[in-house]
Amino acid sequence: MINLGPFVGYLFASYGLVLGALLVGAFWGRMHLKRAQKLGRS
Amino acid sequence: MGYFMKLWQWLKAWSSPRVFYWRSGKWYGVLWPLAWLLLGIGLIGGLFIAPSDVQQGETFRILYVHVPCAFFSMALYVALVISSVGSWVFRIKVADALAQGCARWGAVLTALALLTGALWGKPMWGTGWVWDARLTSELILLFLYLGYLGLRQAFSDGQQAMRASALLAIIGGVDLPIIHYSVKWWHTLHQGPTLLKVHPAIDFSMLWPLLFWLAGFLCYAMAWVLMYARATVLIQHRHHKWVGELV
Repeated sequence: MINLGPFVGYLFASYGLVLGALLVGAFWGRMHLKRAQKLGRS
Repeated sequence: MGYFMKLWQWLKAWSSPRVFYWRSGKWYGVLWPLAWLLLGIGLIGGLFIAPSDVQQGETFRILYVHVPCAFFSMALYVALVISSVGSWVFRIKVADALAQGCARWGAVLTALALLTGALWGKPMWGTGWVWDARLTSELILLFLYLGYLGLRQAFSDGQQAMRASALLAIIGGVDLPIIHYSVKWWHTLHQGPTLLKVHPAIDFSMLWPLLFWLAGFLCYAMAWVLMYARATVLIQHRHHKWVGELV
């Protein structure tokens, strides 16, 4: 379990950055593919 | 011999855009949920189950996000070089689509490796950045990725863009051994290898969440690159008959 110490902000910032990038990346990639599929159907 | 021939034919079929689009849809449908499951286990294990470090306290847990980013920033560059050889030397169009996916996600992971490294370095080293051999060679990797992506946009002719960017990617491959061996060849502030040793310098209670993170990043990277390459193949072949049949 995490003990909230003086440097815990760095820990949360790094996890926030990486998890945020993974989520945004997955969402953007999915939208990009949907756009390409729409283009393919038209 | 028969098995090798079948395997070769199965692999060769991937170079057909139509087969690639159909097969990659099945693969990435499995890889996405698997990636999130592995990352979820790694996240819980890394934040709540692994013990804190004697010297670094809780800050050591940055390792679980920093190491996969750094490892796959290099692994994706290896995939980029292989795909570039496939597209330039063997004229495989699907390989070019895969190379573009590797370059995009590789650039994101390289930037994340540098940022999470800075967030770890600031409390532990007292600074987020030094012109250390490991950090500098990783920064050069980011410039190589950005140069690759920039070159693709610089040409209106698709073939020229492919050739120029593939050449840059192949020559830039020389940075990979420099990054890997930088901590052995020079005295660096960055620590030496922890995992890639005969006896890993990390206790198993701290190691296992990292293995889940690495496996999750592998599935995520494969799924993302396949997804991006599928979109690229569709856009390139949108006037072909098979697109209307499969999409």
